[in-house]
Amino acid sequence: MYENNKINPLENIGAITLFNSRKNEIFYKLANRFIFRKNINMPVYADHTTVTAREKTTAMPPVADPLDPYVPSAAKPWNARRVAHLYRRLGFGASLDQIQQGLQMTPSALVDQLLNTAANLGAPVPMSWSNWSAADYGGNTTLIFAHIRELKRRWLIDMAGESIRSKMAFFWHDHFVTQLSGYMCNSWLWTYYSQLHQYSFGNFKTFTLAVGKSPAMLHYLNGNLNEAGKPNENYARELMELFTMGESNGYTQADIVEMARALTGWTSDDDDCLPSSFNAAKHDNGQKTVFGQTANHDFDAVHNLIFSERSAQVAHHISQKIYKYFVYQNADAQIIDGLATTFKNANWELLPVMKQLFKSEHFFEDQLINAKIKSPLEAFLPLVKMSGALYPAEISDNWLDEINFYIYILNEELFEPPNVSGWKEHRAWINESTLSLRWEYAAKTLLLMAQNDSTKEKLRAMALTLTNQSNNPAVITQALVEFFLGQELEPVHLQAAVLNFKAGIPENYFLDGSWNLYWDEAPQQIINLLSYLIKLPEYQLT
Amino acid sequence: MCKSHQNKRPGTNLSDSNAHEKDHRLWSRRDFLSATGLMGAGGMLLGNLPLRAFQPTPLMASLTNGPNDRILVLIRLDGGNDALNTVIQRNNADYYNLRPTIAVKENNLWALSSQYGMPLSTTALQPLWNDGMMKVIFNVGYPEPNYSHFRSFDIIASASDSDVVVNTGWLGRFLDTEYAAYLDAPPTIPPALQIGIQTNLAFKADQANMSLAVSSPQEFYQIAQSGQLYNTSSLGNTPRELELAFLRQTANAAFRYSETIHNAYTKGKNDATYPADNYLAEQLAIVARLIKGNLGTRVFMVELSGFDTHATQYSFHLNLLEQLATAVKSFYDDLAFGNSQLDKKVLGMTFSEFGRSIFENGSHGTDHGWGTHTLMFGGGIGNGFTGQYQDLTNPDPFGDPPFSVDFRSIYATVLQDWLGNTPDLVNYVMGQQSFPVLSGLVPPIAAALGDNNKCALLGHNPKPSAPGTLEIKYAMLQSGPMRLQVLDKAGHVLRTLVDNYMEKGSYVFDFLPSDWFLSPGTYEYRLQSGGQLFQREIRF
Repeated sequence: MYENNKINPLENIGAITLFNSRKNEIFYKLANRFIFRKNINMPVYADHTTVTAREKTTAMPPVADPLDPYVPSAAKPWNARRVAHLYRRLGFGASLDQIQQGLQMTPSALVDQLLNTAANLGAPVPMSWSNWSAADYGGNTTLIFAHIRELKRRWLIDMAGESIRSKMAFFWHDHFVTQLSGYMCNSWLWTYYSQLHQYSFGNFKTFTLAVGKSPAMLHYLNGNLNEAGKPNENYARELMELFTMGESNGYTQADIVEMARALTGWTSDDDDCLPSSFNAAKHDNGQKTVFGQTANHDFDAVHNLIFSERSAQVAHHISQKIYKYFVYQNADAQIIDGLATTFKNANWELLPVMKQLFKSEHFFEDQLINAKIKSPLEAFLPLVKMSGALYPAEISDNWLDEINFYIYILNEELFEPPNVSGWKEHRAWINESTLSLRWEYAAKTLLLMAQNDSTKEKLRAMALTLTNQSNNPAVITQALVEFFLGQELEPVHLQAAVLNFKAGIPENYFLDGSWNLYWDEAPQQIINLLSYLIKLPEYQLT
Repeated sequence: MCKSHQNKRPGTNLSDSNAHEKDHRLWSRRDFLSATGLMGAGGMLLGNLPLRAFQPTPLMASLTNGPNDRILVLIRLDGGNDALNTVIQRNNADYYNLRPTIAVKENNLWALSSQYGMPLSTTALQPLWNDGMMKVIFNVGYPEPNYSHFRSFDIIASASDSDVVVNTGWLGRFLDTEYAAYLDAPPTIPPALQIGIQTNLAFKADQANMSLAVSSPQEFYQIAQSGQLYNTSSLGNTPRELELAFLRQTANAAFRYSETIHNAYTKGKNDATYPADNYLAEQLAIVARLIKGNLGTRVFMVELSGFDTHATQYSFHLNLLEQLATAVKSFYDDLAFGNSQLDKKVLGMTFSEFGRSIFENGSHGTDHGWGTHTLMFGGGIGNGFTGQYQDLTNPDPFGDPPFSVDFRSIYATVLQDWLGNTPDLVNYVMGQQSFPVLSGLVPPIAAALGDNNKCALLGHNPKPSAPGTLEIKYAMLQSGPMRLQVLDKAGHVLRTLVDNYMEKGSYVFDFLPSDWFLSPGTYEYRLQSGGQLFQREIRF
């Protein structure tokens, strides 16, 4: 019956957190809603093969190491566009103030400051319910969902605020995947969330050990079912394939079987939602042979083997993943090699790798600025981040719930990656329907901004500063396009942008010079311009 | 002069800039929402109810359901057109006294009649007037002074202004389940095309409700000429350019009507010379070409801005009128070319948010006033005047003579007589208010059969999951018997697809022509219920 198909995605706003069955239903309906008429012809494109050691030798001999620290020059100046690039990739964009401050520093000093600050934030402050067991909730599902929403808001607040650690934590969420809907224990969620943040710029080996013993991960990849005599290979496989070494990269099926035996004994139970624990009785105390090393290996011992016997694979896999997430989807072999060496030499500390990458000549190359397709989060959060909006003055809980809803519809729901390998990222985000939904939701984000007088005044102040109080709409439009997009527009679209900025004000007020940015209408004019810019393909690049 | 007037409305002069901005805000604010992509871009939340601006409205449903092929072209004069200097009451001493420096003198007029004239800058319109292709509706206005023509048009034609939607109760009607099927049945042609920054094109009228702003004729040309809004051919092979090319291709593909528009634009051609450096002419040339290329869209909106003439308006305003006159003349020459009779199918109509003060201000301009004139164009509409000219001797306490014709009466007339809708549907569209139809204003066309509004035919589209199958969508506004039939072009009923008692609700009928032994070709399909009939063309 046709009537049953009348589902409006917006009607679910009241229930942001939905079970997967509901989610599937909604996606089914969304999928039905869009008619895909054309096959998009993709441009010819280098494929995404994993860079292997063999390929490294075929790389062109470099003139200079692209990972050398970036030194500003006339051809490659340290300008607002590059400062913004750094902020966009590390976080979710920068306010005008942040860009102006960044310009006063050297690139290296700015990267140090941003990364050191993020790395030194300390363990996140627990929620009131961080250690609540199932018994503490007493079956109150409303409260369970309320607390999940609370945490989702908190993450977005941090993304729109300090940005950098929260984005790195999100990267690790995408790497060490768990799905909340699979366990539904808020205390486990907190442990996991806390680890993602606490270790985000810390020691990767320590991080891997900790997250592997977390109750959420034990449950998600069946470590809790992995017992002596009844091994479950799931975690052993993903630990090597996805979390450390990379697919088919230095391990055999025998290694998986033996490693699974070594990992036995750690348990968690989603009936009680209590912390994980080690049950010695369930640990397999026999001899195991992993990577050719035979002993009574346990959980920590096989991790030591991974990080010692397969250090090259681990260093390479993680470096490449970081590069692809933060820089570009195609990784250059020489650069990955350089990062991997740094990673290994730093004994798995992440901060030196991040600093090397973000300080490099390579990172600041023109062709890589705005070369990354935005994730849904990146499509919405920077609008407010760049306006300088702050929680709770300009970012309301309602607004946060909205954003959480948008990213849920666009398949980036927090705590629900699509599968154990995480989000596919890059071009996988974009098709006709997701693109048009991005337009719609970005416009709604602007609408929320337009309802806040304080945000609007910030936009006005920004335009005044950017243009030295110009009253020329073309000059102002150009400056705002540069600030928000950091890209040149084709003349036809720049011209249309100016028209959108001028809309609603009769032409004569521009001609006789009486219009200026102090007019009551000016902030709304900026919103109008943004509402045009968000629909440009250029807007989807970051 | 007119000191008293200026005192009662401080700020209407540019010289009084601070106060002027405040005054300005009252009327310019309304444009912002509709001017932004915000509205066009889609839904918003009001009181927890999802509202989608620019969704097809019952008006659009009525337009696409009509059995005739008449077209309406709305010409928006942005800023508030000065009525008194557009059509001049000849030899009216009060006019010349109120406007000592900006009145259009008798020797600068061409005569519409012994009583009225238009400035010589509009001489291009004289042949239209003489050939019975032009009418003047005097002093068109609206009872609430803070209301504007533009916003009102939005209420009626596009429901694009959300605040108004809520205030006038559109929200409830809009979300009414009766019309849900229409939302899911986007027509294959854009129901309305609007060029210009004031509103956006409803390009993707499905639930995603994407609409791209086609902000300028230049953007429109790019679509019309290449079938693409975004150029994908000029990009190189750097990482950024590769990703941008991918995004542009996806965006172009999402732009659902581009191919239809491109095809019509290619098929049509302009057969008249349009004046150069004339923004309105650029837009009308596109419209003419799309009409001649059989696009099928029945409502177009174009605009000419600059009418907010607060200062030194005389030559400036006459020049705007000249742009209007020459553009319209070329447009109708183009439509009529080769004895096509197309000019008789296209009704052109100006509108503006309000008129201007009847008196001249201290800056040789005019401030915001009340009623303004509407000009109508079209082959076979005749010539003449409707309504009463402003009575300059009898202004209200604010200095404005009361308006004469409610613009909604004009819309009701156009909907009913020009586009052939039933009075019930017209009233429905007008918010269940009944506005008198101006009899004789335009040649009436018979409404679709039927006497009450019990069903609506909402359109058809290919079923994505089943090639060859067409989804025919309709809504029953009341439970009752209904019939869905396929006819040949001569009007013979070939098949009856549904003949049943149906509950109130929205429906879709999966129509696979081969199941009904119909060979490929062009047919009509028809929905009948409660004495009402909708008919549309279908090809398979």
